Amino acid sequence: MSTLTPDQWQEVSPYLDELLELAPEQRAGWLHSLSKKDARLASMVQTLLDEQRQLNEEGFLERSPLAPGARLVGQKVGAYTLTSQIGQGGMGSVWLAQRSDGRFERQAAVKFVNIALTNRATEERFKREGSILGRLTHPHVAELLDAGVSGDGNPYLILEYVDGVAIDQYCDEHKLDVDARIKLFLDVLSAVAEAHANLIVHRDIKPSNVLVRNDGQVKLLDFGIAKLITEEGDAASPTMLTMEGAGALTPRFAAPEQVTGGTVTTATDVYALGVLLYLLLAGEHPAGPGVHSAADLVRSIVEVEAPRASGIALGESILAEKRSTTPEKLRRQLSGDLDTILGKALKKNPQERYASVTAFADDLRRYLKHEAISARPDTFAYRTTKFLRRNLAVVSLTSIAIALVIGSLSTGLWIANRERKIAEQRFSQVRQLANRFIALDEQVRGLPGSTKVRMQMVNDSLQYLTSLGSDIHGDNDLALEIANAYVRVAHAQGDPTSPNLGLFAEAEASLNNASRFVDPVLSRDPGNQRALFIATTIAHDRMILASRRGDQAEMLKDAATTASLIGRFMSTRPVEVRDLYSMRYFYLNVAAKYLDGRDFDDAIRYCQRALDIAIPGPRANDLRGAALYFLAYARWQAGDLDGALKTTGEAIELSKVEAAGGHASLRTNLANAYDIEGSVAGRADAEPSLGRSAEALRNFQKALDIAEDLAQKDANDNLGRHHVAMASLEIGNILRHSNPKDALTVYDHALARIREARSSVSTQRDEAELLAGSSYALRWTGRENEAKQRITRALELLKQAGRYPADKLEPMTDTYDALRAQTDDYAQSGQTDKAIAAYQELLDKLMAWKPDLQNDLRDATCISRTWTALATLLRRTGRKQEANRLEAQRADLWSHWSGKLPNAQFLLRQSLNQIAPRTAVAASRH
Amino acid sequence: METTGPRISALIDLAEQGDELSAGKLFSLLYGELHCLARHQLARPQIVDLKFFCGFSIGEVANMQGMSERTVQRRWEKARIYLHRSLRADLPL
Repeated sequence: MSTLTPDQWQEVSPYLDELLELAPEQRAGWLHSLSKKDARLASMVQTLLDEQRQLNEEGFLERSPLAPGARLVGQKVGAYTLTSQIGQGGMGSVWLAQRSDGRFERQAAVKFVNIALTNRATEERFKREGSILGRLTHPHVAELLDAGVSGDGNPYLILEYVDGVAIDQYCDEHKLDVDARIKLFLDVLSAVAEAHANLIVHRDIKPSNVLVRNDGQVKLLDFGIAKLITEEGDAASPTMLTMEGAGALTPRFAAPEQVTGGTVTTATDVYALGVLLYLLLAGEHPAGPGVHSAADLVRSIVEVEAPRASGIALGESILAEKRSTTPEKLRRQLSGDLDTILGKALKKNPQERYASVTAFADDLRRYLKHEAISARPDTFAYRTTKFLRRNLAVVSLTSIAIALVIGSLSTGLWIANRERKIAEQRFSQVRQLANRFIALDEQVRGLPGSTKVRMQMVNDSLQYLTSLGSDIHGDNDLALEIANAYVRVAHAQGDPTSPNLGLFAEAEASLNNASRFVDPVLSRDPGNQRALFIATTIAHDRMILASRRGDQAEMLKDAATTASLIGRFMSTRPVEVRDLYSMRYFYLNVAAKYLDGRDFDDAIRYCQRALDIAIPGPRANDLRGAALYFLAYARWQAGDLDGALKTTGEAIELSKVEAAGGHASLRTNLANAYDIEGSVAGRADAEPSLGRSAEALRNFQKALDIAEDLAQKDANDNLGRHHVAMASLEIGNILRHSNPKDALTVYDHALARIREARSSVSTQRDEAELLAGSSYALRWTGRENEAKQRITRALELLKQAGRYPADKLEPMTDTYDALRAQTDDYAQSGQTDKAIAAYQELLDKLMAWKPDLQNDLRDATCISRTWTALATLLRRTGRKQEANRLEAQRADLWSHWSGKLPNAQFLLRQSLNQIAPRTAVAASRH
Repeated sequence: METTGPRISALIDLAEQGDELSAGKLFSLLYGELHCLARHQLARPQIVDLKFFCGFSIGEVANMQGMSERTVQRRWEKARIYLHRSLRADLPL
């Protein structure tokens, strides 16, 4: 679809590389000389360059559409309401917020932090550390007002909002001279000293964290936050580089011990403060100006002594100008004491630095008062010997290009150590990237139209994760992350309960892969909450898939496993709110599967357990609509129609509220609720119903509208299509008796929808049902041949789906419906004998399935109706005795049920010996 | 010259206003094109993964990928041109 073919792209690509490398003002000349050589190529490159400029101005793709964007405006976080976004980076996003509880006007900055709070413990630690930091109050420290976790699980920090500019920018803009800069810097030191007195290390001092307001007040931001968001319990603290993977810290200001994974202490802040002062005085970073790769920075931080600040002062006159002086004066000012002070603060060895921030400050104050400072200058010999002692292994290699040293594995322990750090860094980044995708998947999950992209995303993350797989070695967390990724792949491939790609076999394989990673964790640690959660998800998903492929024995086995795992999970402590919600969901589906298995007692039990899970907070009612719907279904099938209708009413009311959020699966619930209300009111198949067809039609129509909407919004959504098929079938089945022509339109529309989907057992079964149902409507509009063709096709599809031929027939299922359509076709086209034989066979197969006529209403109604149809045909051919015998069986059956369910309206109709409506119509037409 | 077509810019607008359907569509389009890009080996998709989908800054991506910021910036800009072209069927060249 691109106007740029891959070939064209290949052609211009190297030229674009070259061009984009150039400074903007050099580009015109470069293009001009290219156009002399190849005018066509030059014009192509020119067009793309213009586009690039425009895209830059527009900020095309500068923000992820899924990053918390405009939609967060107005959201409440703690006592604050977000008003606009003021920053965005890998670490998270920063928002300006207004205090919203009306107590007093106050602005604050809300920082959402991109970290995974994997369990309650890390969440608690986050809040606890946050409250420690909150106690730090100092006029030059931006106060941490609150730390917590938002309703949707994002950890956040609320900080005093500081309207100011970075300290280096402030000093330059105001042309502060050296003494003024030092005085300002002393304010910074006093803030850091106060924090150190409270045992809080900043860990991330850099100009953008040291702001100066218009009134000249310095404010330090983000005290201790680096620790808050990186350290995991008692685990070894990650190195600076691994944290850089999180985008959390800036190695430009890192101390050597942070880069090499040493212990972070107050001396670490002293080093960063030294870098900051160096920058303020000399105008550049000790590692020199310009952009550095990570490797170069590491090298310079760990091994290269910074050049004296005074040496830099003679460089560009603009530097001195910004300090309201001349280069020569600046050089003289910096040389001597200031060089010495900076040298001491920037020592590679933490123990050689100033012992405290206060000592650092004292020396600066002495300098301002022209007193003798405490730090001793390093002589050249002193520096050299120290350097040699510390870096013996490295110095011998100085003649070799340093890039080679970094790449080499054989240059001694020190380098090996760094290699390990870099490997760890990669590991952590890849893991983080993968988990970021997983988090995105979570956000995209409910979006209509997103099925395919989710699949790609999750697959990518799985690739990232499995690339780490060989390093698992008992790492529970990594094993669980991989398992989790597999589960998500399975979801996108074929989770029949939400938008999916219809790749059910692949989904099962992914679930098996997930098990391979979870099971060992559970056998090592049976109470591992997260492992139990994933195992429950796997069992649940297997149950759903078994049900999808019609394997009822496996489905019920998985249902029992799921229920027992939910029990185990619920016995762990503490259980988070969102997990409570998931458990309610799992219980519900277990209940649904027991419903499929016609085990109403168990179904009602697990519905009840789902409703019994108390969910605190705003999600208290989530899924209650669905639970009520299942309860209604169970009651309906158990013959309690009034109870069922009452429960359905509640279910619809609740589902409407849930569905308003637009999440696809919640709207599916609402469609389901309408579906059941329609069925109870008057389903055409004369299962226990109230016989109110018009009301039933209205409800099925509502269910259809929702399903259509879902199917249209996501071309890859098979679930939406399935619901279209089911609702259309019910509508057609009712409508065909009064208006076969309209019924046919409904059936045919659904057939077209279902044929858009990739063929699977599920679509084959849906299509067979629709074909069988529509055969009546065709015949009754005079299109007998097409009716016969559709029945034949329906049976072919069921054959492909492995449902036909069958020795046993479950009542009221697709194969039964198709065979009955065939039998009715014989009956209604005058082949009475053939029809009698076929009905007899149908009855035999139904009985072979061992229906529970005494306890299961569906079975009773189905057999009863078959008896009636057969009796009618027998009577027509004069076989009255056989007919009477069937009628007597029927009467016995319903008198049994009248005793079992007194006052049930629908039983009255049954005992009135009412003939099934479609047979009545057929008889009148014939 | 108008560069962003009505379709894609409308999608972006809607997505930024919180329209989930548009966000989903936009996401699908971009992700699809991104992988097309990778298939033709025209750019390293990781940079776009990290920059656009994960929201890392150029500096952060450079650190992660062990490249200079400049290289990342150049590759990002190139990928962006390609993606933009892919999403617009009506741009002359």
